[in-house]
Amino acid sequence: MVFSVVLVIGYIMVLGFVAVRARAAREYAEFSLARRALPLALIFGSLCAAYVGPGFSIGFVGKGFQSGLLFLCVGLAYATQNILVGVFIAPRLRSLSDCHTLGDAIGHKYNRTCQILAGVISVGLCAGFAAVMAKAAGVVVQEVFGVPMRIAVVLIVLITTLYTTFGGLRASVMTDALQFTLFTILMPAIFLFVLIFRTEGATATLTREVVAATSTGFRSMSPVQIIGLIAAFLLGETLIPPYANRALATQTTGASRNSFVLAGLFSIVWFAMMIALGIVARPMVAEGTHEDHVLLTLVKTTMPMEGYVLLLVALISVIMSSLDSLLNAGAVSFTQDIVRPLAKVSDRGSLLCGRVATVTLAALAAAAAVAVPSIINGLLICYTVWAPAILPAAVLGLSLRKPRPLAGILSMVTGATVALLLQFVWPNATEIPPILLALAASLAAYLLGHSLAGCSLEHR
Amino acid sequence: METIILVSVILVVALVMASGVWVGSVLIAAVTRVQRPASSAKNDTVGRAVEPPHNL
Repeated sequence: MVFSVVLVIGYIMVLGFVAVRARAAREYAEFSLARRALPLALIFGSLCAAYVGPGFSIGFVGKGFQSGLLFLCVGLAYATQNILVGVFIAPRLRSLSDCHTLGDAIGHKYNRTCQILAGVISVGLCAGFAAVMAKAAGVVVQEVFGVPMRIAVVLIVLITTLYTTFGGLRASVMTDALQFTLFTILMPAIFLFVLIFRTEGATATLTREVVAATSTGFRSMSPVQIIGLIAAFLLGETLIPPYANRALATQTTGASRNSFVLAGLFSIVWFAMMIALGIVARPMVAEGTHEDHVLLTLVKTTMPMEGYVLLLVALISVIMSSLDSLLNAGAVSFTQDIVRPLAKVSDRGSLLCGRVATVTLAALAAAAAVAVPSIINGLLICYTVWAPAILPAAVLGLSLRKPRPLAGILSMVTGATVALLLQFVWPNATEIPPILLALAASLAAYLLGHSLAGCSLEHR
Repeated sequence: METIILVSVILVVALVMASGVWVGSVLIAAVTRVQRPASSAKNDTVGRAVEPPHNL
């Protein structure tokens, strides 16, 4: 217990040191985009730390345990998405030199109404994702200190909010880089320890379990379900606010492109390692174990106490780095896409608004954390809403020469409405994955709006 | 099959750790650098860089 507390306190002190070195933001441009002066390595580390949350660590180990390499195939869709965004979208986004957020870019391409709509969706999504992260953080901190879930959530959200509120994006990116360094060294070390010292006939066992788990995984899901998962991973996190902010905050368009491409490539090796850890766990963890508890159970039963505590520190890093990115991105989106288009706010006022929004979002996330289902399911709900609500309008808006505002508005409203209805009102309405249906509705609405706006232009 | 798995494991672990070391070294350089006046911060790793022209 003493070792756990000392380690966690030491970790928080190092985190605090990095946050202090990142300096408090004095201007809004510093809070929102760190003055667009962040180098490739830090943006790459921060991007990876933002997407490697509890879902891509605890969740993927659980999925590897249950279904072997099936989720590695699903994960490849995520890597492809990152690489495609890097090659085609991130440089275009970065070239919009006066934009602070994705909503800002949408407003730049369409009009102010579209920007506000995109802002509302972005803030809602960041709050939803942040609630999932807060819940995961609560589970881990509860494990370390043995405190009640509610206190554990408040503790971790409070620390994250503190440095994100004052340091803005620069503090978020620099602490993310620290957390990335920590978990990319600790997690492989844990994996190697379990594989070499705790698995009898290491590679032979791994080979046997890979085949067994993967065939079980493919048998347990229908092709439609697999397509739905691939669609969710391909589109669900595309250009979510924290990633868009990082694309905008790089020094150059080249750095923006490369950071996304490298992050996509990194995701392949990361998923492979998490899935392998899940497969290695099969002979050691009881079959009926809940997928979110496989990693914790594996390490608890196979490693000395110190190793278990190190894993918990790595997991706290994984979760906090995602949480701070979401809080900052949500706050910047609120200020830039909702407040600034509606009211004239000074630079100082915008900075204050961003800070207040960070604290409010954090409070909302902490309050909503208890309502979150399992980690992966919580993430899938957010994916289902984000992709149809924003992607058609954002991607077509950035690609077309003169996108029409009516198309953007119809697409965002229809996509969000259909996704929410299919997710919460009629969850069993059809076999087809909700994300695909909502995306089709959003695209159809975009085309309708584009044609209608074209007709009215011709009449004039 | 076992050889492929073994080589894959070594490769995956090495790549993950190498990424961490790369980002960590840039971060250490950023947090331990001596603060300089803005006029000399041209090559600053996390300082205020001048945006070069881009041709998009």
